[in-house]
Amino acid sequence: MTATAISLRGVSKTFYKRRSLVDVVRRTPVSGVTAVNGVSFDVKPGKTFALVGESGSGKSTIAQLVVGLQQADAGDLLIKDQSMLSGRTVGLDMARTIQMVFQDPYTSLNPRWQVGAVISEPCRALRLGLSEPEIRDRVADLLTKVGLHPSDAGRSAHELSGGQRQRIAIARMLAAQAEIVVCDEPTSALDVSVQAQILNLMRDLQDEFGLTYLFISHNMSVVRFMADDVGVMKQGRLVEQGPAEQVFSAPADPYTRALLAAVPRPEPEAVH
Amino acid sequence: MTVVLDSHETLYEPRRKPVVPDMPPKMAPDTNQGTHPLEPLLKVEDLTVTFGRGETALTALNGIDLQVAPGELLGVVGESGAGKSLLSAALMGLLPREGRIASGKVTLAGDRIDTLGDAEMQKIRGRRIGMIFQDPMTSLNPLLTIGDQITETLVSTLNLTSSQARKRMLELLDEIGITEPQIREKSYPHEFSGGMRQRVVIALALAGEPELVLADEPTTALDVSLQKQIIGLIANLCKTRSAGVILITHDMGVVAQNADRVAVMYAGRVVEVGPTAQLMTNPMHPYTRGLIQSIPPLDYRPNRLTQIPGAMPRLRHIPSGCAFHPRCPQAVDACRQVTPAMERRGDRQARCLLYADDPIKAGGVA
Repeated sequence: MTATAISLRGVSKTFYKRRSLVDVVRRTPVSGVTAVNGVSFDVKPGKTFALVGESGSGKSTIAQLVVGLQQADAGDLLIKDQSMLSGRTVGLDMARTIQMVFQDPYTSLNPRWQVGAVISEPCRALRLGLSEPEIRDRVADLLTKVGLHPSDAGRSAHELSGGQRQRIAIARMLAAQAEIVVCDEPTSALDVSVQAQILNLMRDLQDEFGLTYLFISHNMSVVRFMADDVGVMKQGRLVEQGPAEQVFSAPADPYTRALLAAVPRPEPEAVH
Repeated sequence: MTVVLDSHETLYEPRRKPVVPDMPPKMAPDTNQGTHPLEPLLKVEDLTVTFGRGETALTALNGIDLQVAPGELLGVVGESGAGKSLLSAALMGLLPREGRIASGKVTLAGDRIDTLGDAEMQKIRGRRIGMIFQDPMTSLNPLLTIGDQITETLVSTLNLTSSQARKRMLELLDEIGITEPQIREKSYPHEFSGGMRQRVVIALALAGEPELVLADEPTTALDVSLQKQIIGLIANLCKTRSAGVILITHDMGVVAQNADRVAVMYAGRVVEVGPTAQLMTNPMHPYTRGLIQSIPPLDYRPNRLTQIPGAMPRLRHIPSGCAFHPRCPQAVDACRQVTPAMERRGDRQARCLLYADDPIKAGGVA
């Protein structure tokens, strides 16, 4: 087992505004937004590292950098101790190792596909070397694992509820035999009772398969339940990081305290 | 390039100002200031909304009874598909074409509004019922400055002259916490941040001095840190005006901190109503308890979250008896056959056989 599953060392990413010819002729200064600014953290194998922060804080950009959907401008990104920024092509190996669960289960599954096709796709596309009957068994097995029925393989994604869809997305990630899963707000489109189901499922699967989660959320209570370690992001910078226990019980940064204070709680003592 | 000033989002404190004196006097419902007035502002009785007709008709809202007092904030919670937004559409007369009010009665300060035609309802909306929607970007006209939008609303709802309206508009901007109103009234919606835009939407909703404000998920599109301020602003401005508020949300936390009373909806019915603190600490209905327990705690990390199994049923497949029985940990055989009636315990009510003296007689066999 490697020392870290994911390691970011001083990673930065700036998005530049597209320059028109007029901008070039007039020598308008280049303007850009630094979405991620010198961020460093380590994610331990088999653990959950959660990134919290408000919209625009750079959480999702980090998710995209880690899965290779964006390239960092500076710093180094290591997946299982291998640098991803040294110009090596990111191939099937990488795709087998890292998978993603997206926020919106209504847009992350093809509504025309049957559930079986959605889940078996990674087995074929990532050349896992399974025969068709093996793939079929695996789909049935995974559907059971995520709390659905093997017969659901014949249904279309559009027939399913949000919670069921997110279960399919999780089964698809498992089908790829991923070790590292980047979850970008996986429950923020779900109702609270369904959210509890999905979070319980994700923790069960982590125990069973030893998955590493990079868990991105703006919801502090969800993070409290999921995270072993937490990083708090503000305007592209990591303002605080540490074990979840510590960050929640004794937040060091004023911004973390403000985020915690803003959480609306159902407890009556919170009623003013 | 206009810079969007976010700084006073955090600095803002609601300021209370008397309503402008030269306004035409409102039918101020000021006789009943308590939480349980004799004459509620809004009274919804046995409201049933169906889609389609005849055999295939679907009942989307089923026997809704609700009351809102002047100055009271009623929270309506429930998961998607519970009928929360349909309820607000029914109250505003904005049901989709296929939907209709099959039975029941809605009265606003004694005036029946469920039987009004489109033209009459148009006069009620904005003037007597203000509306705040989820997405501030789509509630505002991107081509008009915010000052013009509010002024226009004031002219059309209150018949003010344009100079009166402009004066009132600047006061409103100040009330919702926009500094330097004279400068910022010239801004367009895209120049404002999400939180500022939602403040403008609140100003628009309150421009007609409505008796009732319907806020449908007003903070869902905003960051958590803005949530408190925006809902606090709605609550404060409506309290000072003695306007009733119906706050529709899926977030139990939002309701806990702001509502005077809470109504919990499930599959088109109100399953529990009660004062906020009591309902949150000691929920009567198993669904309410499940919703509260599903929220992950903030002060420790449990091994598992309490979850409600299954999902909200679709309209076409609403279970017999109590619609919640397939998901209910306390369900007994009778729950499958008997539709529970609203059982009253002091100022609280719940639709659950747990509280029926005689479960079989409780609601009649469904």
